[in-house]
Amino acid sequence: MHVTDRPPTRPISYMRVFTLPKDGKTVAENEDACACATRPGADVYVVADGASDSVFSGLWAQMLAHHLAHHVPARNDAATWRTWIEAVQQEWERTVRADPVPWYVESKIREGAFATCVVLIVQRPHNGNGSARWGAMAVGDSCLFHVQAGDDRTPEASQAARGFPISDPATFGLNPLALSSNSVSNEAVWPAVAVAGGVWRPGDSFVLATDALAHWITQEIVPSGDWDRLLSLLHSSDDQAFETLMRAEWGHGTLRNDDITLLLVQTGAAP
Amino acid sequence: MPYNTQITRQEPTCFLLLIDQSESMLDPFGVAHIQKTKAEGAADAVNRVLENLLLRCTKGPNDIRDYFYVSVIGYGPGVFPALNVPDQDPNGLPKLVPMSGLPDLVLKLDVRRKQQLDGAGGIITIEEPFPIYVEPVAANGTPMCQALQLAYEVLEGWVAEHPTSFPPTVINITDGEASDGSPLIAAQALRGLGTSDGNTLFFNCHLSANPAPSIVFADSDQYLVDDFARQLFLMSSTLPEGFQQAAAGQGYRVNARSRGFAFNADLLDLIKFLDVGTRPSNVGR
Repeated sequence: MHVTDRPPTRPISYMRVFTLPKDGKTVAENEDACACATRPGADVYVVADGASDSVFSGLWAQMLAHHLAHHVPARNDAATWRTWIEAVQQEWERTVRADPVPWYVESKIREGAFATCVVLIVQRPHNGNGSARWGAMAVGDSCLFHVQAGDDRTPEASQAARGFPISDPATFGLNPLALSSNSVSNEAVWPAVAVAGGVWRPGDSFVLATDALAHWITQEIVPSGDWDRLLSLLHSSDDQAFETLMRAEWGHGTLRNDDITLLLVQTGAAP
Repeated sequence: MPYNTQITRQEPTCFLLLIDQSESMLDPFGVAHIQKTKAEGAADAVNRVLENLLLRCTKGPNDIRDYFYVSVIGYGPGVFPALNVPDQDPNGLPKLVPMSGLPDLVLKLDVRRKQQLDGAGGIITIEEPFPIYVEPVAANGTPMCQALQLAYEVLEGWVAEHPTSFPPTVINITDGEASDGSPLIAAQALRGLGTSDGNTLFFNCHLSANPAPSIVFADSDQYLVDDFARQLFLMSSTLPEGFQQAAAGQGYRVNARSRGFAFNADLLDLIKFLDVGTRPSNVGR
């Protein structure tokens, strides 16, 4: 994954992203995806996780992430979502059917590809104190965490301080809802799209993670508040520290063996 | 906790399907809306399980992940390997075939019609290819004990080669009465084979002409229709804790006494909780 640093003249946020395929899979088999985009007035960050049980799910996750970053749906209602996702579904179908496929792949294509996702929109400040609003939406168990800078704010001050859309470690499982290339399967998703929002201040960080890492964060980081274990990675010169940390946690059995993606967003420091 | 090892290409697991092909399987199936013989029902069940396992391992056109190895043993007119494996010795031990080799074993592709929602409130009929790996057979007696002994020999070799993998799963599809003795001892021996992650899971699917309601994951033999069903229930493994939790999460009524026993029920229920990764809850809705 590549690093995107925003130019220092007028930053609202910058990011680092790390990803690691499940132990036993190759890099090409990693089914996580991420994307980011700058829109007028906001930066958008997306993390998506292709369901391992479905076909071409990594491709689906990449396409979803890209479309979400560049064209977030204007409203959170079923009709808007149905129209929005058609373009992604059509792009995916064109790609997977570009060459003839065997009969057993045809059955899987018809079943559809699935991916969870979480989207963060960081709005540009309009006032002198540098704060502004953030918004998020999520389908499934990819998660967002809002790490508030300063000692004057409590976890209750942010809907994502302990994790959004999941803050209870016991809630993570192997059967989340997921956005699908199959329209019928999405009808169960539309009523369940989670949304959140709040205010960010300069110095705040946001952490986006796919489910195995998100689960680990709710168990190992949120209770202690030791966010530096992850945020220090913002300044690492390569991916080695991240990979070392993840493999150690796999070895301890505290992190489930799965594709891992960590997207760190740092807002500008206070003047 | 046993039955907790992740199923991967490096540590695959195996399925052994035992299919009763005795003459009594010519009788009609007891489920009212299904117009087929028990032999047709059994072959259909095996073909559906194999299709399901293949689909769960399929990631792309040239990408079938060998999470599972499978074999099928037929018993009726003898006890023999029932998959069309090219270099299989008909008198030898049935080979366990990796998923990537399964498409080559298809005898023919049937076309099945299926109704599904079209996403706009309507229903459409689609045609899907359905692979046939095993054809219905019904002849002679029911040498179930011999089949269990052959299964034991196959799995003895497997667990020796995969000592830390998720344990094997044996699924016996039968209308109940063995003609070569009591299968309870042979079943117990089979369940005694295992890996470091637990003992072999032995599940039984009882196909009956009796129109009694279907049962899956029975926890007692109290309401079972006959001695054959009760015997198969006793031969069946209790569900691993992870299976119980997953089944309960999907609305099945299970408890610590629930066993992998199905009566005139969908065979796929017995294997759907074997975890090879994330399966969204809205698949197939």
